Amino acid sequence: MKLLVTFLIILAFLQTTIIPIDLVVIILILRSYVKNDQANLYIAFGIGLLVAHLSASTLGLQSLIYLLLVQIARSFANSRFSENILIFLPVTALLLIMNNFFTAYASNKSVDLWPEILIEVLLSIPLYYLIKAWEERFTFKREIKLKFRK
Amino acid sequence: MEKVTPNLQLFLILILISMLVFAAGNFKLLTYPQRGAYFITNPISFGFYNLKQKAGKQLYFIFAARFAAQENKALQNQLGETLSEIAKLKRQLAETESLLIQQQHIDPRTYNLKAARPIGLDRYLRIDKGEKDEIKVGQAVIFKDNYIGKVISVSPSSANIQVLTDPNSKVSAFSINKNGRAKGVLTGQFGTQTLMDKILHEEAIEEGDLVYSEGTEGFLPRGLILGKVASVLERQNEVFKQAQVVPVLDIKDLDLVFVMTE
Repeated sequence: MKLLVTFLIILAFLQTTIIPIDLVVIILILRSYVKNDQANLYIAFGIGLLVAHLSASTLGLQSLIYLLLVQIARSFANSRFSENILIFLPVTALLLIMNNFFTAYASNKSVDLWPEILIEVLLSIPLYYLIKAWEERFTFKREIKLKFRK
Repeated sequence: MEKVTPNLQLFLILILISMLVFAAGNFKLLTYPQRGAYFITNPISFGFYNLKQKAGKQLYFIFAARFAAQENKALQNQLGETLSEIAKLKRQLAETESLLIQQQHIDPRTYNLKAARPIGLDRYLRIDKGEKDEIKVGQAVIFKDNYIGKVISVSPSSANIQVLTDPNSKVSAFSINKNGRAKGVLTGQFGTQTLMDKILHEEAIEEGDLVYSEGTEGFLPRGLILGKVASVLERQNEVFKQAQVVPVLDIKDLDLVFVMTE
């Protein structure tokens, strides 16, 4: 958890200074999708405050957006659609578009999705498998044994 | 089966807190804490920003160096092409000059001259014209008023010229000066010299005299310059005297020679 928080803080600094891509929200959405953990909500709230502070926008607004996205991602993960392994991709794309719309609306800016949204969606593919592998590293998986009939 | 909206209570509490923070922020209640936080976050943000600038400069240097290397290579190729073009133009100019000079010396209306380019020189001078261009064995090769040699073998697209200095070359020649004239046979020597032999003792020949063709061979017109007397070898006990003759032109410097086809 400490590692995740540290990583998200670094990403928050990176996205407000160097990289114009919302890296934090990708990680938050994907982690929420992969793992049902109430810490996701705390992290979304805290990192939302930090991102709002670093980008000099009104505090609380980013937290509201992040909390909403995290909760929607978790709801999708709990639904029966999530049985398909590739459903995370349209879900992530949808949530990232929502994030862009909310952020643009809150800061009175026009919505400009292209090409950031494509980069973010493409970036979410490797990140999803990385987060999945990291979160399920201690999960025990039963060995498959084949039975032969005589 | 998990609930579709898990942790709803916590979610609502955090939403409520966020809204309170948002409201407090809007009413400027969080200005001082935010300013205090900037003391911590601003140096870190500047650190990241500087890192980006430095990395950008380094990357720019790499791209600039790569671009410069590509440009340098392209310019070198361009320079090579230009030099080759200049060399070609110079050669064409030299050939055109040679043609003009040749027309001033031997009338092309009297002799049918075919221009040929020297392409090699060892024992024989090789030219780039052959049977296809109606070059035949025995034809004379000249430049200006100077005799260069005789065609001794022909291939479809090249021919070999036996130059005056070849040991098998023999041409009847004469020299002339204010005291009279001398007749002899000009034979090739190994090296760059020729020897004018069979000159009678009473005939006048001196160092520096020009030696001309006699024109008795048939293929060669009379009066072409064969060379210049370098020294006279005279022995009283011998019937004839001899003269060493050096060519007036250096064959290696010629861009074009002319074959007398008729």
